[in-house]
Amino acid sequence: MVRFDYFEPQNISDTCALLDEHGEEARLIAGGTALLIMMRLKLLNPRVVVSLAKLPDFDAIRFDPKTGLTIGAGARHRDIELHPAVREHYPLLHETFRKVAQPRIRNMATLGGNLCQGDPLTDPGASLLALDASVVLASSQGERMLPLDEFFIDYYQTAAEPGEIMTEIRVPPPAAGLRWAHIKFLPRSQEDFATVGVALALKTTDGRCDDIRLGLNSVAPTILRAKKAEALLRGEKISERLIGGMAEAAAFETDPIDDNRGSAEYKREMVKVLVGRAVAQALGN
Amino acid sequence: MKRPVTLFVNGESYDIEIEPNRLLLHALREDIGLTGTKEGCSIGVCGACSVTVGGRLVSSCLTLAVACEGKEVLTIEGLAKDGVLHPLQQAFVEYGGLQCGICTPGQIIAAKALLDEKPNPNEEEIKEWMAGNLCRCTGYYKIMESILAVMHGKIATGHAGGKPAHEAKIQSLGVYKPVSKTS
Amino acid sequence: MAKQDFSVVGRRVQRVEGYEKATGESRYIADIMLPRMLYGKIFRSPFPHARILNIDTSKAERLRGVRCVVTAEDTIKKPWGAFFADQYPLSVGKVRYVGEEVAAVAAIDRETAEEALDLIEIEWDELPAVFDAEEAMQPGAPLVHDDKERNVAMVIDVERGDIEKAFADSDVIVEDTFQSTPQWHCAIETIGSVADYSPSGKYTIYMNTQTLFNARYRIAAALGVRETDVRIIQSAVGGGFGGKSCDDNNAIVAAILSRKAGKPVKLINTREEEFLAGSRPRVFMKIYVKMGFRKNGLIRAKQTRVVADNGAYSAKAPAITGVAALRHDTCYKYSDVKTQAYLVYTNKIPTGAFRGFGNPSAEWAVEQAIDEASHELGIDPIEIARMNAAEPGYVSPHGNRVISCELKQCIDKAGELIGWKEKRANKKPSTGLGLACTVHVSGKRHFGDYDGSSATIKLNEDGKALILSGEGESGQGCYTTMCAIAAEELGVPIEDVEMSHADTDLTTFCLGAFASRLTYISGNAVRDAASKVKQQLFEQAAEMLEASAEDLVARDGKIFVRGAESKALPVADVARARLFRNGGAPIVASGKFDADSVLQDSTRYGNESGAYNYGCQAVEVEVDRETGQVKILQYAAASDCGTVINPVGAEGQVEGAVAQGIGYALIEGLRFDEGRPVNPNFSDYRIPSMRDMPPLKHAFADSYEPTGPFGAKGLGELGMDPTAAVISNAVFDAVGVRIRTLPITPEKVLHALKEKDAKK
Repeated sequence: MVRFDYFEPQNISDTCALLDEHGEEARLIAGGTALLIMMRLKLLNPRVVVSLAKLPDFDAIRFDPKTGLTIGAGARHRDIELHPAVREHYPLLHETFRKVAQPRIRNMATLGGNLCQGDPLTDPGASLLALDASVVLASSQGERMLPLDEFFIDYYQTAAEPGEIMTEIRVPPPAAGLRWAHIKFLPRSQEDFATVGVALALKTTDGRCDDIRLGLNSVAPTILRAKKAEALLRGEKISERLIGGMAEAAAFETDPIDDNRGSAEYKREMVKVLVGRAVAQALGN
Repeated sequence: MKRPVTLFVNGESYDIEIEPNRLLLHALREDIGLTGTKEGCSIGVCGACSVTVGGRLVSSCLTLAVACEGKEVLTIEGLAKDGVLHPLQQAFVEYGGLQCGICTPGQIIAAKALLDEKPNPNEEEIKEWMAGNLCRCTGYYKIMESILAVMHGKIATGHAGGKPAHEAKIQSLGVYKPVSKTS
Repeated sequence: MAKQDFSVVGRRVQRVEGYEKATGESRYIADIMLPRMLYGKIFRSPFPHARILNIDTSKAERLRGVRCVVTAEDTIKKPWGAFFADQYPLSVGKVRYVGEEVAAVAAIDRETAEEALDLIEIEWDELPAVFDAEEAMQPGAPLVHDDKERNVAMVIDVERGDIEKAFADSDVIVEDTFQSTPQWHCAIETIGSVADYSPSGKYTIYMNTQTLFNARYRIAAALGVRETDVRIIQSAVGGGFGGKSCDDNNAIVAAILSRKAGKPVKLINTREEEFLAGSRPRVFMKIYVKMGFRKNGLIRAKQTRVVADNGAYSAKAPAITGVAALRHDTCYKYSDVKTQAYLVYTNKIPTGAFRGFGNPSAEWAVEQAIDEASHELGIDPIEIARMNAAEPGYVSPHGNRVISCELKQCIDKAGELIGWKEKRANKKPSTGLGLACTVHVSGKRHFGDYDGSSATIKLNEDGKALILSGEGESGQGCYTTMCAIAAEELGVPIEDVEMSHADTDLTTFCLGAFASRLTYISGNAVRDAASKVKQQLFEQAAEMLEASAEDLVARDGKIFVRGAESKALPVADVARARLFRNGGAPIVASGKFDADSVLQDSTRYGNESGAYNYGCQAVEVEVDRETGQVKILQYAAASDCGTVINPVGAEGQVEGAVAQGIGYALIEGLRFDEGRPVNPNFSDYRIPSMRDMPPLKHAFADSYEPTGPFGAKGLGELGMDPTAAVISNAVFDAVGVRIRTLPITPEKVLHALKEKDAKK
């Protein structure tokens, strides 16, 4: 691993100043689970590493019934999973975070680090997309809020600009009667990245779909929202036939690759099967 | 550039001079000389390097030592007191929870972190937690038995020095008895 | 001696080295630090096949902190190998697989050594490469070794009986082809060594090998020195499974670096290196099987054609291929068999020994063919297995002589544990049962027509016995088993027996841990040594008790005249009296054993082992028809390993083996891209975790092997031999599709289901 200078700034503005000063040479470290692997493999060789460990309240998780859930980017997966408000108001998030890797990694990895890594194999992004989350990005120029939907650009590439740091993840207040499902398909080993991940949030009235958000991971260069599939169901009376068509549409929106977890063709096929199962599960939830 | 760092490991303080890129794993093993913590996969998957930092179970192979300044670190060497094994250590020895032993320090530290957080997990919860600690020898059955034995108070702590193992009474995952001749 | 008379054997005893392991005190190879020690790093070939035109190490040598750089020029350029000498310590002229050792660096720390690798400049001439064994046999395929025509390293062609006639006699014939897969050992500890060269010419090498003396022989050959010039000291071994039997170059390169640098050098594989060029993965084979059966289910004929992928160099694959071709003929009663096997070079990592040797590949094919026949014949698979099962006294067509054999008992027990009859009678949709049998050896005679062991036991003046043995401990529990055997023979508690670390300078010749040999072979040698120590004790005690040695008994650390236990002498008192007197001497004795087996002749005929262990496993699975996912609902394993010396250890062997078998069947595998394993790490190559393990029931047969120590036979490998076939047979029973290529991925199952539906 390359040698680097190490800083532990005490506030966001100092952090941004360090990023401005060192530019491409600098990398942020929070949980370290992604960055240090990349560095040990020499895929990244930063000369400056800026730790976010000392930022005040950077790992805070707050819930307000009016504004919803605000998760500090430095919050660790396990703290989010176990947070009482998350358990109570966002069971989809609780379920999702519970399935990420294992407790040891969840103890280390932060949500901000996870999202900024832009790794399509990980789970939280899909569920946050399904819940219409936004992210707050700060830089020396100020703050901006971005729908998570616009955050994932490409494989390991996000909308965060050089000099920007993610500070918060915001999830709107839970909609009354929201139905949900999360499927992490792990046919190989229970200890694996998802072959296919499906996160679904659904609102219905009398069997009609009022709103729907479908997040998918591990099936494209980015975590994605299957918007065409959503559109097929939104506003419609839910039927077996419609679910089938929607699942097929979702599969069509993916762009998986062949890897040790299966061929692209198989993953697409599984999106079809699992989206169908997710809708059925959600209707039961 | 090297910088001075103070680590509190197993209740003792160590002042070391390290580069910021020094991993906690290597600081423990090479700067402090506590080699009980092992390196298996180097990417946080196998759990052989498990330690707790500030009471949290972490992979020391993905933790910078400088980031642990001032925090309490617990390694396998911190469990036995005055030559008396921790009940989990005793259980792993008695119930065959270890074979080659390379993953054992990580398994025991992980199991301790589990029981500290949740003294009475069910088998599913144990599996979910311990899934982060790979073992290639045991098939995990006797690791499970070892943990259950501690939970069920089957372990009398004392010096391990080679005394015969108790009959493993907890057989949640297996049925072990010699078969009688049938032909 | 009847079983109930044992006082140590058969009792649940804990690991003799358990305390050190549970406290982190055990010293593994990475824990060994010597003064002035340097860190080594290997420059590995990025190409599957290329000529080396020029190597320039000058920049690397000039890097601050680098102590030396070595290439083939620093070696004797003589190839070495377990059976065929075809591998160089550092590439000579060309490279033959991605990961091959080309050059190496020793530096003051890991980072500097790594940095130096980037400064080594090599001019390459890339050559066409071949990655598939069958393609490699085609005319015109690129040659991995110029002198190996059609890349064939070895051919076996054996027929016993009259195969044509036997097929003509058969009522039902099944034919099919099966493909197995490479599997890596994935011991949680990678291969490593610390080599310390002395200017006197002696290499002291700390190694995590499971076969010390074989390692010494091979390293000496590669370095061009005498065996005694190499001293191997075994560190604690963090899992072997065949992968640490010194078929790789790690220790040799460390030794070359140490000699040139004049300092100790530590060289530990990273996990990626372990996948690329460390432990030699299971030989992958394509096996064509044709079997003939009588209407009543009796096997009449068996023919196989095996194409085995050797990789770029020969490790143990020649022997493994032989086992895949022939061993199974000891499992059932065969009369007419024919096999042709080809071991073929490709431009991939050399393959080699992994728990089970050739058995898991052979069982994957043959046990599925038998299952196919049972369905075709309409006979319950458990009945077919039972009626054909080998029995005591069976002599295989290749001359394997079976003494103890409780395969039928194992079949019945596996069926009972899984609930075969009830579940078959009440079959649920998409669930199925599968079963398969296996046979394994207890030691195999191949190295220098010797399949023996030796051990020395010294009895200290305090009455404690120390076993000196070069077999070593690789995690499987050998120390504990040997201590139990010695304690039983000596009549002392197991706490009064210890075993030394293995060290080629201090212990007599031992072949090491392979072929499930230690309990049987080394156990017999240890028992022999213990019995001689006991003789010396009895001579002394006879004098002290004024009795005849023949009338003495040793039990629980005391020696007494039979029937007069009240006047017992503690062993310590006897040992002390033997030493501290005029003309005294410490008590010490050496024991030996060589199995009653013979080296197979040029036609592969000959009793390969002193004893054969048997097993049967059964499983119930559920298949998700929409995803193809296979879920194991219950697993059962029954094993015949003769007397169980230590139930804790024996159970652990079966449990661990089944876990590896499940990994082999369902989970493990890496994709190769132009000969390069894709993503060689634990994130992409998954091994089973605790969450992946199904409920497991197991049992040991009531069995006694008369030639074994207290009736014991081998066990270590047995548990993973049949597993993949067991599961595949159950998948067939569940949903009617046969998976012929490992691993059984959900994708393959789903594909097969769709093909089946399309045919309807």
